[in-house]
Amino acid sequence: MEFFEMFGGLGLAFIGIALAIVMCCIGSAKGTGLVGEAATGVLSETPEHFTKCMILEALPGTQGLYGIAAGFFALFVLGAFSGGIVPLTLSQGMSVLIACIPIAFGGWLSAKAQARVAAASINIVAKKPDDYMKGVILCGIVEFYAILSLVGTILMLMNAL
Amino acid sequence: MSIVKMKHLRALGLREGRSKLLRRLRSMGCVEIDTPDELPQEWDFLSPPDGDELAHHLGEADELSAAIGILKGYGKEKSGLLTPLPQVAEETLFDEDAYRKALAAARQVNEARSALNAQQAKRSKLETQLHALEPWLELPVPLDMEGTAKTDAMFFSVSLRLPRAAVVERLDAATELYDLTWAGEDKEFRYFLLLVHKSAAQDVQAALLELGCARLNLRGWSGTAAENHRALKARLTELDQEAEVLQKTIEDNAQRVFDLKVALDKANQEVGLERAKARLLDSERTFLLDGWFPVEKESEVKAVLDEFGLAYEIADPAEEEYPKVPIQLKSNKLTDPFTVVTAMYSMPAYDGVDPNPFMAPFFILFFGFMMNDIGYGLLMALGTAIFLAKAKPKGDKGRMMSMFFMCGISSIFWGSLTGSFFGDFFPQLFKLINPELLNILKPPVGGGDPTWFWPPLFNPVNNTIQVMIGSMALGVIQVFTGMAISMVEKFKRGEALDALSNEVAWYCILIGAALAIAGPMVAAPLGTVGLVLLFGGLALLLVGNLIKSKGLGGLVGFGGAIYNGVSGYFSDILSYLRLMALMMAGAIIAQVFNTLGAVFGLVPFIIVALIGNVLNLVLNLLGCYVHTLRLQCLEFFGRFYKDGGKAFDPLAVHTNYVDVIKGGN
Repeated sequence: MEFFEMFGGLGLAFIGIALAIVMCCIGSAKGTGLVGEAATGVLSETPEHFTKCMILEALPGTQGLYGIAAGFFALFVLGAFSGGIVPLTLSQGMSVLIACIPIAFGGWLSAKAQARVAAASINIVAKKPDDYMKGVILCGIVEFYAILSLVGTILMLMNAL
Repeated sequence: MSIVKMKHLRALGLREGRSKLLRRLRSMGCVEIDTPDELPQEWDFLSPPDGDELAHHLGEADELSAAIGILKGYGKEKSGLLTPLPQVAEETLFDEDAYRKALAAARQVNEARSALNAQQAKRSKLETQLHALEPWLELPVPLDMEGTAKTDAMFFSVSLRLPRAAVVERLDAATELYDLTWAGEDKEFRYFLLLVHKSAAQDVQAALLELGCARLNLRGWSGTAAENHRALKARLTELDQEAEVLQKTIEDNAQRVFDLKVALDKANQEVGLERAKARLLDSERTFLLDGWFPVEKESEVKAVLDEFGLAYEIADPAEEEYPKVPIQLKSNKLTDPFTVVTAMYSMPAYDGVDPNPFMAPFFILFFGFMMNDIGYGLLMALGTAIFLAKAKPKGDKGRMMSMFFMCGISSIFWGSLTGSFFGDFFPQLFKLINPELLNILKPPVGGGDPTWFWPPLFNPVNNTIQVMIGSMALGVIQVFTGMAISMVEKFKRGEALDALSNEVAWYCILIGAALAIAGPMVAAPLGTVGLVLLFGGLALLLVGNLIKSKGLGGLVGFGGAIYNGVSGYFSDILSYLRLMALMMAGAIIAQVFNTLGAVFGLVPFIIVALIGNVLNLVLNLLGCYVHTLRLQCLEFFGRFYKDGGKAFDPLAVHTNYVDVIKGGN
């Protein structure tokens, strides 16, 4: 208990918000990086497929966006945009921290998993460029779990205070 | 709105008129040529035609497309996203004379390009040679000089790091019978000519090698470096002039790129025709054609076959032939766009159901439910409408656009129920301009902050439970519709028992269970009705299984059916929660962007909100499309759809660069 008291409620909440943002951004950075690397191989041969490769590369980037959206929503709940943040009790702070966990992990790991699908879909761009939308659709399936994590986090944040 | 009935055609004709017949069939575009199978043994002497013509046309198509690729870089032709394909009459497309001319132009372009490439190689070789000559330009002696009767001439290079004095010192130490002339330098080396008495030549060479000098072999040259340099320069100028001529040849042809595209389209038609021909079977003088065409085209097809004097037989497909029958869906304007979705999954079997009319309303409804934003819907509907009107896309592209147009309208509908326009754009905007403006807006029916110009029915973020129940209710409706289709099909096929013990039983069980649980809250007798239905359904299921396999097998089957049914329906209906998830996620991300922008004032708000909302729209487009698709393909089709057909692909004119206007051929 003393350990947590060192942080204070607000400190705990901020740890959660930071986790939500940073984990998602790490996942997205790794993900877009992986797809980007795969894309350069195709682009060196057929530069005209740039747009298709870019769309695939952008897909694992959305988790970063979800992370910042969740973090932002948490700050919003804490009152940061409506008259300043009020002090939190330990349990309130802990609630916000826990509420941020779904998107922190869901975003991070789904970005990595989606990146692998997107990187493999670069092969479709190379071999059958007209069918690349199917690769995008496969990536969309993975995206859903980031969306679910975001929805979970938001639902919990709405009830955190 | 259904699967088009097909007729099977088998015809015998003389090879003389074959090409003309195939061209006519191609122009009609309603006969798919198939490989005949299961022929009687005495027809074994028939063999497929040779593929020489196919290879020839493929080669020409390659030449044309290579030339078009080259001319693309010269960009004389302007075509935007919204420019429709130019229209061309069928006779123009197949004009042999124009085709030959275009092919000649393509060859000219390709030859000029490969000559330019060869030139480039020559040029870089010359440039390397020029570079190698540069240090020796000041030297007045011929480069192939070997020496005199008593002396040897040697050319050396030495690293710039070694001072000249060091070389001279070393030479002095070795002999005095030498004459050293320094030539030029480049970035790394300096060069010199050494004349040395034959008696000391070996010693000097060894000493210099030890010092790090390298002896150069210039025997390939004759005359002085300056002479050679001039000659090379002259050759380069010549190459420049040649290149100019070649470039001009390509540029001159750049304005003909459209002719080349028409020619490529023609070449591809010939390739298609030859591919169809490869599916025929030949004897020495005759050929056998096997194929399919839609019933309504029978008189047209017969007329052509008679005109060409073919002996033929037309029959309805027998049931064992169904897997081979190509599938064409008869659609109206509303359902046709959804053929894209059906084809992506799999075409229905010939004795299956055309899913488009059943799927279309759900697809439109679900997509709009998830998108639920007036602003996004307007962007989608307007964007696709403008594209459809201006670019007049054909085929799958046009279908996609029409589909997204309908989904856009549906998004506007749902958006008007939730009062969402780019999320909460208007409330945020009014707050920034003048908070009194907020009075124009009305709060949702259930209460809350004012959000829209008329009272919204619900808000996806605040009314989570209602949205969740609504999503599952939509799921129940779709799953029940799928069961109804399956039940009707089973009754039609005379499988009444299967329908009763499956769909009917589960209707009773599911509705009965729901009534038994929720009914008493409304009225007490409803609970009893529910229980009766539930047990009636279970009894039907049990009886059905016992009839299918008697005794213990039937009981085990019943247990299995209960387990599969309960887990299957449960997970299928829960799957519709994605409707809620996407609806909420879209709304929240839009709100986050709007709130973020609003922190910094009016102008940043408009910029951030616009960029953020466009991004959210793109994300939502992908999400809503993928998940609507999934609900149709897995949850809905799983209930009734019999897939496995292959799409009807008649011999027809399929062009990429022009729109063909039908005419005689």
